[in-house]
Amino acid sequence: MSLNMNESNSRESRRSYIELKARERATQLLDPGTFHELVGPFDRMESVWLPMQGIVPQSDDGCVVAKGTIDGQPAVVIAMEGKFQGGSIGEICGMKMAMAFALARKDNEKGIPTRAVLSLESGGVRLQEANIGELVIAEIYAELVALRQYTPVVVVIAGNTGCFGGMSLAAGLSSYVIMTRQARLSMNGPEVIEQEAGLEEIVASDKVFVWGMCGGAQRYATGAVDVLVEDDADAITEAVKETFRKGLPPVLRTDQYELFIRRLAAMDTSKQWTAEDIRTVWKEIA
Amino acid sequence: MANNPTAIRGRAWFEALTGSNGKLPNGPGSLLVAEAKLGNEPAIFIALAPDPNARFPRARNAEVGLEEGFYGTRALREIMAQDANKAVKRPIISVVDSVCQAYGRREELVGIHIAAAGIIAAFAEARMAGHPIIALIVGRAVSGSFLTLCAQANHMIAFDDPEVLIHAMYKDAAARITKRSVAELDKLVKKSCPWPMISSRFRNSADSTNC
Repeated sequence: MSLNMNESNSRESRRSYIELKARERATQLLDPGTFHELVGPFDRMESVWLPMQGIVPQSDDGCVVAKGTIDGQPAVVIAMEGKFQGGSIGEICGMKMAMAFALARKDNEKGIPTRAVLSLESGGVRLQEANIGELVIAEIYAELVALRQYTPVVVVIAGNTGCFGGMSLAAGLSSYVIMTRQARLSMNGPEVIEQEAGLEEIVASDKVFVWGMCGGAQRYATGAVDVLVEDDADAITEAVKETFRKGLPPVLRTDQYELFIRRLAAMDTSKQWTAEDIRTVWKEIA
Repeated sequence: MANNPTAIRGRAWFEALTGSNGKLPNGPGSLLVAEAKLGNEPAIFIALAPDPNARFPRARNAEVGLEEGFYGTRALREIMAQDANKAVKRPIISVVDSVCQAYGRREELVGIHIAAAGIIAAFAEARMAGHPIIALIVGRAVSGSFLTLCAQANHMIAFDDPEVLIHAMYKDAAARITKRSVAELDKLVKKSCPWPMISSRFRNSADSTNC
């Protein structure tokens, strides 16, 4: 009885991170009172490509970049807004992200240890901006790889949009990934796989299977993410701080290829696999 | 669409440039790596090619799949290690004809985003270490193939040829996702720059990737 009451109390005091908009998320992750937006909506940096395709642009292009501190240390937070064009990466939002990483790197090169957080809600490249989107994603990768030598680049994947396509690779390149159970992390979305490869690969409408394959719990159990958190704004902020306290990761995920090669060699590729198969083999070959 | 019987250009150009079949002793048949002379200097060439016997059925047509990603990363890291103490690092030429990334359940379960990120990080760090990186696009470089095999290069060179295709997504899929007909999309391509479907229209922006 008392346990239940405690639970209900903690639920009442809990604030959802998922329900926060991008600007509120950036404010949430930075130390109170330190939020300072760079290239904000009043700078009118909007996509020139969307209006010519009959789509109303947004004055921040779905991406909020804010400078401040985290745990008292200089930090930049980049938060994607999943509700604008599916969190897709267009020219402006992609360049804001890449240049924020570049400025953080220059700070680090000057001895100012600026850290970076990327709060992702992204379906991937913005198809309306196609090749320009791909090129800015290439810039994001280049700057992310350059920055992660100096400071951890922490990715947070929290909400229902999830993290797909080009931005799933950014998560792969990052130093640490923090994820909720509600979120998904996958290169190809289930609908795309069903369409391209057929129902024998994935039934996209089978939500239990899809979350079992690429939801936060499975990604955490198989080491593709570092921290699994509840949808609690303060808990996520604390997880970000804790993660930065660890410093640079001993081994980056992109340097684990030998481990993955051993695991792949142990798998029977003549049959389809379940999420459980991966958990088992990953435990055996750790 | 993912079936690409024409993905023979990667192997053809790789063999023409290196005089080697590029087979790695402990690597998948789809990954070709060899050293050859570029002018008078030694250079590394890397390419993907179709392999009908590949272990992963969704990666038999020169897609960027799990083995291509992880073994490709290993190959690039070995090259970087060999040149680590050399003043002059060998150039790495990525010869590209790859339809896309591999779409499949096994791929997502393992985390193909980590396999692809491995190659990107290796190319980016090789470039930062001083290896000149050149992407030679001889066929298709679509979606994940463009991002992994081309986009971290210092320079991208694409053949002016109708079979060369650089794009975020194939036209019919892009039309479906952006809720337009292919005809509407074609009309848009004519007036709007982000939608070029062929290399000759893409070329102006191809060298803008940072070095």
